[in-house]
Amino acid sequence: MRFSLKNFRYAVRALRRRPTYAAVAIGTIGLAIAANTTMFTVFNGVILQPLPFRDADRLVTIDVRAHTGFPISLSLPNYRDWRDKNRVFESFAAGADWGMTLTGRGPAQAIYALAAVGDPFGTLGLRPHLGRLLTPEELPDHEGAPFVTVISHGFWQQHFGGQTDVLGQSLVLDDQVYTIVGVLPPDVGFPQASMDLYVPMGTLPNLPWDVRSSSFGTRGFGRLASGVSLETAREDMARVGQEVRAEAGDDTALPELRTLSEFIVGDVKTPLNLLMGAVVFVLLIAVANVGNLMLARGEDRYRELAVRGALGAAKTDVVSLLLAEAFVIAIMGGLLGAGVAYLSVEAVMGLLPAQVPALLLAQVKVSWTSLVFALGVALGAGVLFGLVPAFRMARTDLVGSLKSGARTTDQGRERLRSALVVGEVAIALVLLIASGLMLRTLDKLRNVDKGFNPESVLTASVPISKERNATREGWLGFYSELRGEAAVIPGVRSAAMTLLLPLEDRSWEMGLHPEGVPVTPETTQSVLYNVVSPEYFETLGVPIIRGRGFTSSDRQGSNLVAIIDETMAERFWPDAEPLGHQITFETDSASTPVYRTVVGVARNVRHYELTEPSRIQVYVPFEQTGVRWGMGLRIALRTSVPPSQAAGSLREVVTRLDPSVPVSRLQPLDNLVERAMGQSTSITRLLTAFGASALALAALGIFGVMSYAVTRRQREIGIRIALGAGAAEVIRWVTTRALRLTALGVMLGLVASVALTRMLSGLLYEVTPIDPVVFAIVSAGLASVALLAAYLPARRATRVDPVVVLSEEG
Amino acid sequence: MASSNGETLIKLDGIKKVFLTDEVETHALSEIHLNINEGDYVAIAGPSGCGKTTLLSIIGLLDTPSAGSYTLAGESVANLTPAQQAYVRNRQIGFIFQAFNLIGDLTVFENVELPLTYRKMPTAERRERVMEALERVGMAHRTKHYPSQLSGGQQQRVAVARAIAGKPAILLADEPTGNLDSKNGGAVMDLLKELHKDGSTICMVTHDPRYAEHADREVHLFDGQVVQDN
Ligand SMILES: Nc1ncnc2c1ncn2[C@@H]1O[C@H](COP(=O)(O)OP(=O)(O)O)[C@@H](O)[C@H]1O
Ligand SMILES: [Mg+2]
Repeated sequence: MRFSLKNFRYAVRALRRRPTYAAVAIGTIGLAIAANTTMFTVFNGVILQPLPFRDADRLVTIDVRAHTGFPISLSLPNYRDWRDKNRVFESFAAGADWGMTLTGRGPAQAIYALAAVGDPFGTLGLRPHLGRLLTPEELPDHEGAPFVTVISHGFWQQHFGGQTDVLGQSLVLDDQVYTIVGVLPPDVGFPQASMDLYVPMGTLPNLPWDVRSSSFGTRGFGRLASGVSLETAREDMARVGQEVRAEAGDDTALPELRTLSEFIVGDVKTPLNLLMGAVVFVLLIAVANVGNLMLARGEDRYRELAVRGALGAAKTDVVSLLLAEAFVIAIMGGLLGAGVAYLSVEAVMGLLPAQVPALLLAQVKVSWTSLVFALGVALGAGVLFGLVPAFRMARTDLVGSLKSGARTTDQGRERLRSALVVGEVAIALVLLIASGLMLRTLDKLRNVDKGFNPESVLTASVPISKERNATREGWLGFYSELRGEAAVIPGVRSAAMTLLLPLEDRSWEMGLHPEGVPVTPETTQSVLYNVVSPEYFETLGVPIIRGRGFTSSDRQGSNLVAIIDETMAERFWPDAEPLGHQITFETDSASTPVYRTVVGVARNVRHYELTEPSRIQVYVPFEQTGVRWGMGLRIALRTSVPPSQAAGSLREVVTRLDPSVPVSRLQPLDNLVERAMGQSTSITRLLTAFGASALALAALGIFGVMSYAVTRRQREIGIRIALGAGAAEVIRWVTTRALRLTALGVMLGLVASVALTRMLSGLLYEVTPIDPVVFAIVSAGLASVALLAAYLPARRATRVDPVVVLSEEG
Repeated sequence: MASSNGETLIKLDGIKKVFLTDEVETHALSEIHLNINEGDYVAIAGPSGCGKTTLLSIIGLLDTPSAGSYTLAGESVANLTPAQQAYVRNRQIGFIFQAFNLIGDLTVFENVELPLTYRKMPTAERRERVMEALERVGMAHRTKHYPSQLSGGQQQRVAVARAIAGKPAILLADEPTGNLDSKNGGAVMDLLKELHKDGSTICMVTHDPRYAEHADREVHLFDGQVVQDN
């Protein structure tokens, strides 16, 4: 087969003479490739690209499992022992996310810092953009580290306008003066690029440096020595864990290793794989459509090709001519697609699950890989939709087809075209069912019984200054005063202080013992521990279903009380009255257990996830926190106006009370719920977009095939009209043909859906992957669209002039 | 007016047909007066382009005249809706085309059955009518064949069977032998003659004087006008 330049020139000329055909073909393939390239670009950046760290495949993170089986964070004694006893790590580090308050540069501000020990920068293989990074000597595993900090590129830009004289300048963080020694390159950081800055953990006050059972959010990570496999490392760390446990006691936690990329990419892999699969489906439909167009076009060229054959052109010449045209369409489509992708990547990133870490999003760029991908897909598609029709054409007996009484159209080719449409319908159905299932999931999620009412509630994090936090009275006084002033803001119906807000990604777990159970580590039960002011239940709309809520008389000195949730009532006292029972928290009992009386039972609140019932939550009045006061609290305001309208007044109240306190995370409670649904929402949005494109393309396919059939069969339609078929019969004839194809496609699609939607099940909530409602509605909807798509050609068919059958001579 | 034994079936008065293409008016038919009675066998003859096909299309309700009145079986067809026209075509008219116009994707049986499928008719009766018609034209042994598997003469016989299966009031044939050799053409003409003998009303277009003589009445058209009727 020859691919002469002449063939390509000829193809370009032929396409220019048929602008509509060329535009539809190139546009269809171009848009499909745009969608694919966009998704691939995201996929490539997030999943295929290594993390932006040196030899990222050697980086692992260390999860910690408590003897109770719950995941906890790394305590410093365990950090030291695990670091010193292992034989697999080349370097080792740990860090804890640390909220800090920045003062002295405009209004007080909440910032995110990583409090580090060991050698995090060496382990990750990061280099400074400016200055230097923190050395292992500056990051000791004990108090007394130097007050130095490395800032992120983003923080540098935002606060120093990218000035190079930033080195040596100082920052006041939590009332301590830190000196800036370096700036990180753009778009890197740990665990996220959005981390503002890095400080030595040894500069922070009052850390439990020597409490092995402590857990305050530290995560360990390390670089494996070269040649050490993850398996070997796991075995070695298991050994280390057991050795430490043997020395330090049975309640010592154990290490578990994961690759850093699994830790960072984790949850987003499944949805991204799914979306990538979905968009490939869209491409298949587009290819089928263009294939159909090319087949139709091939038929129009019958005569021309017959003449060429008669003039001595070999079949291969005819094939290469058709292929040249397919390639021209493919390449133009590929270029168009790459261009559109370039422009749309940004927009699609906005639609991505919020769970996709910023670190990875920073890697999402239309790169050469993406362009090669686009053109590769285009050429692949070109071969697919060019080769098949070309060879069919070459096999056709051109002369025989002109015989009188021959079949109205070539059966084989028509069957192929019909098969393509059947395939398109099937694929579209699968995509639409997938998005239907997600839409139902979203609906279920919206209506899930959360245990609280997120509407019209404004929330914010309000830390406390060091001076006020020095005494229990200072702490309680600040937050009581804040609550009191916030409660009288116009439009505020009630105000509450709380340690935890539902769905906020912040938790405080405590060991609990009911009365009669010996207070030992073996018998401890971990529960969510929340500290709230009495107005909490009213403000968040959490119903008290037994007993009472807290009142202002539940204060220091009066009887210690607690409110438990339904789950705890059922679990602990299944057949008995829970009210009046006694419970204690383990650290209260360091000497002698201090018991509290259960005075109420609250409705279960979804705390960690919307989709999973929380573990037990126990509430303690904030005036009765015993030894455990001093934590920063959240404020919640139930408003009679839109919650954001109260935001300004709340800020004013806080500033009036203490100008050094930054208000952060100021948002309606609704936001937390939305964020908890975030992944489902964005997956649904993208899947629905793909489903809609698939539907549109399939409708276009049906429209195309039926229009073409009507054109090819004008004579047959004319005969039918001459024999007495009215408009209704003609319309029925065309639509029946379309419906037959659609029905076949729907059946295939249903079978495929049953097989494929199982992959979605992890993302569904209270919807089975073969939800009959979704299957039925989507099938019916698709059939209606098919009918609509067939209706236009059918209308046209009724306008066929029957006289044609008299005037044409066969 | 020549031999007529039955009631007036078709009555054309002052029929005109003007085609407008590219601002050019073609007067295909001008002032046609023509009566066809039940049982007539009329041949319409004339040179190419004189308006024969146009006339037949109007009689067959495939086209509407620009002027004039047309009464079919005592009723004016001027104001019929398209659906009513289709109904009349289906019940009263049987077409035979020069190019046979069988549908390639349908078997012989299905082709003949086609006009009957547009009526509400029990399947058994439909089957009976189809077989009757196919026997009438001597094609009953080929019911499962496709048109492409038949000779031209056989195809035209199937087309005749299709035209008579619905027992129409009149058969309209537009140069039914035009695509056939003389032997096959002769056979089709014999078939039409037999049908006429059995009582069918036939209106046939031909420009072959030999076949025109088969009819008991010849109408000559020239430039859209009847120049001779005997
Ligand atoms: N649809 C049409 N549009 C324009 N002119 C037409 C059309 N049909 C027929 N004519 C013209 O009307 C005249 C009569 O045509 P026709 O009835 O087909 O003649 P015949 O069948 O006798 O050969 C011719 O001049 C022809 O060109
Ligand atoms: Mg003619």
